[in-house]
Amino acid sequence: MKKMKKNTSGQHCCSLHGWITCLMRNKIDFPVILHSDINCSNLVFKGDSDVNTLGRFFCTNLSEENIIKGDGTKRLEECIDAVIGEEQPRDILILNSCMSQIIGDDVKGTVQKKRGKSRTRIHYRETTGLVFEDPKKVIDDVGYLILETLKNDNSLRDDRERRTINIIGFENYVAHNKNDLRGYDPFLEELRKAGAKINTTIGPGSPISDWKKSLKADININFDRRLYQNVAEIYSKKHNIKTIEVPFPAGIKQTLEFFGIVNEKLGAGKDIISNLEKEIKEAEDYLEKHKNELKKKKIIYNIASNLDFTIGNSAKEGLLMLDFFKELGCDVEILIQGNPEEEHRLAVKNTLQEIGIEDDFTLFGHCGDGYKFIDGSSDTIVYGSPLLKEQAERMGNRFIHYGEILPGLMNMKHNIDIIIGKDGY
Amino acid sequence: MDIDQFRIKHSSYVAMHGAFVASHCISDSLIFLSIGIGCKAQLPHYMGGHELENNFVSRMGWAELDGDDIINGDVKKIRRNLLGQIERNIANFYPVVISPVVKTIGMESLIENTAEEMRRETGENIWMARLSGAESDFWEGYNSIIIAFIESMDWRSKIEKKTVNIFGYPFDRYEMEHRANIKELRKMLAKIGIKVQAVFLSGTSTTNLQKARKAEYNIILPHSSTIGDDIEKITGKPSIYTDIPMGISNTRQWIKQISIALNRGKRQAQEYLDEQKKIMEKFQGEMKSTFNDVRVGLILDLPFIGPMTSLLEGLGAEISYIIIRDRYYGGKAKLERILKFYNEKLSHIDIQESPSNDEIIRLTNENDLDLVIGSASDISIVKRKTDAKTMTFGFPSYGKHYTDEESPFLGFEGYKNFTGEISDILNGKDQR
Repeated sequence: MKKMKKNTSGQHCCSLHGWITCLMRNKIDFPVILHSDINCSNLVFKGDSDVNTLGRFFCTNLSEENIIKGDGTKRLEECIDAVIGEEQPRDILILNSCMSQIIGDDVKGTVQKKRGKSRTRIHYRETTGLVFEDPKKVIDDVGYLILETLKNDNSLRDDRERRTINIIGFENYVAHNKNDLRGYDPFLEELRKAGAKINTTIGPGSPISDWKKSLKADININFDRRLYQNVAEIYSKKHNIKTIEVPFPAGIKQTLEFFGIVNEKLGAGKDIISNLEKEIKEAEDYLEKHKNELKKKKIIYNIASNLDFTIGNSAKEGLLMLDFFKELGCDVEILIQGNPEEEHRLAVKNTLQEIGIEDDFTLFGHCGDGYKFIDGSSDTIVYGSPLLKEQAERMGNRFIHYGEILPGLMNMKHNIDIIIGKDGY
Repeated sequence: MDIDQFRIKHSSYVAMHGAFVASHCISDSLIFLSIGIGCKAQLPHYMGGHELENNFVSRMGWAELDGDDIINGDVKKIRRNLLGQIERNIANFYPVVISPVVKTIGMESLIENTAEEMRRETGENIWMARLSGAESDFWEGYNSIIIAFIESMDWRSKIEKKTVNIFGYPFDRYEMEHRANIKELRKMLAKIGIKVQAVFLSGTSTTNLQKARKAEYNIILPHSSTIGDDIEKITGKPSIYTDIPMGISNTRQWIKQISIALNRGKRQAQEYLDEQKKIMEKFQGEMKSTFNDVRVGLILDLPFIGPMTSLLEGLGAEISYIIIRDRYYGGKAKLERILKFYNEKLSHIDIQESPSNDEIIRLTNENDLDLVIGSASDISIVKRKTDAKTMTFGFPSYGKHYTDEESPFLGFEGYKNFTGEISDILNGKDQR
């Protein structure tokens, strides 16, 4: 059995949990069958979920009798037949669980047996909590499956738009179900001046309609080449859309680098600097004006285990904004939730070195103990996952959520204001 | 094969969920999850939004067993991580639970032995909460935490006469509907000269729960009726089984029953009931115009169905369908007997056990319902696909919180408050 990859700073996960979370947020339009007892069906979150998406999920609801007798695959066959009989879907996805693995159900064989008996394409992914998985891999696998379901749909590629890009990772982390781009308008205007426009955004929170739309773009840009590796391959091989890595466009330096790469790849031939002269000057002036205030600020940059399968805590191990905070002159401390034992510490150190980060970091074991590493000073701000929000506020610190730092030059004002705690922020 | 049986059920919480909620409802308890990583992730997911106090995350520990641990029966992670939790020094009670998978593989005894060994080694209150497997129920898990806790107690104590414990109060979050209910229960019993030592569960500490040893009797509410015999055996105190004091007649009956069983305060009880009767009947009369011919659907755990049905029918509403959420209290056959006991004419109601989401929508639309009462996960379906008004009741409850206003639904005060809340919903003044 495959062990968790040790050199990771992010949280490991149950792949079934990751698959279901991403599929729900992607608002999938094909049926998914969980081969499981009812316990795992609770991973399909029922609280405020979209009812139409909820209705895409089915479960074999294995009984004690199925488990003892070992006739779970019969139940799976019945479920596949029932769903295909009722809906005649183009695609159907089968996921398994710890329970079906433990009792030794031959899910792969059952799926194989059913394939070709109808016009429905039956996909199967081995998902389980018995093997710890890197959330980045789950995000990639789900994206790959979605593209696979679209691969024969040639109509989607008829009207490709020139000089358009798909951005992987511009999802609104706060309301990730909505793929909301509010606050991104100034950046989109700057991007236009740099000779490009966004076709759509792709990520674990993008609805399937955006994945369909993504096939009309010129290129994909990604903030971490280790994220969506397989997705990048299918875009390239099947849809002739290349994926390039760029820095996250927060701050002046990274934003200009971002525009430079995009401009070059699209061959837009624009003089970016002169086109953005006004925006660059305003951003520089605002930074200069608040330089001294920013120097006093300490950012506790938290990488936590909220397992929400977002780009925010997956791309570059969740540290996408590190260089941005440093550019502003803030003191940054990295605080990582994870097993504080030496073996893990070394693994985290290796991972950070792989992505070019040499900074020291603190590991804390229990996600409820993060507050012990927060000093309560009014100049200390915690940036990161919502799990630490309550703890930061309890200590009297301000908290900035993943996704509140906005891209682009014109958003420098917003970003600086949020850090210095200007009225209204 | 009917596709409905494969749809994701509106209510499919298992014992592990109930145990998690129950442990959270003992204020200095830390639940230790000897389970896999996916199970661990889903538990706080359901509490988030239901419970505004976020400290349930702090008061959970986990082993994150993987395939190798489970197949090899390796408890090293359990020992190491549980010791880590003890070092955090934030809890006085450590219930240990397992998932259906861990149960199926046969690791339960091994983990129970480990818990016992660690209890001896550390002197900490570490107890296994025994849960059944794949078809277990939320309330089974909830009650298993109560059993684990009372097993951990030393019950030798001098008994204080005229005092009782209450078992089976379904506390599920630290908000003012529960606080007010507990206050109301204590107040009503105080009126007949009976003191409550401890309420299981009530969001209180282990120290307060341990006062239970001094009680003379245990009152067993329906949510703990299935463990009443165990409670009697472990505590050595006689059990008095009662219904939930919800609605006028049930509350009156509850007070009378306890007064008679303890042979205490019969005169005070009669005086109190006479006084309340006048007030409540007047109130009921005033409310009837709002409820007359209102058609209601109930999606509830079985113990609440009888009292709620009786309360609403008493106001002139008509119950069109009842959906039993749990798989633990005896199902349709038991409910039919209960409803018959309440009122022969209630036996006409359409009762369903765990229907599909589509079926709930169909029942609501075909019966042209005015109101559906159920948990957030039940009514989220109703809200989006029907025109019926909805009221959140029970676990989980995401849309409505009681943070500063006492909002009981039990006892006489509860009757007025709860009826008023439904009335506001029917009149469009409140939507939840």
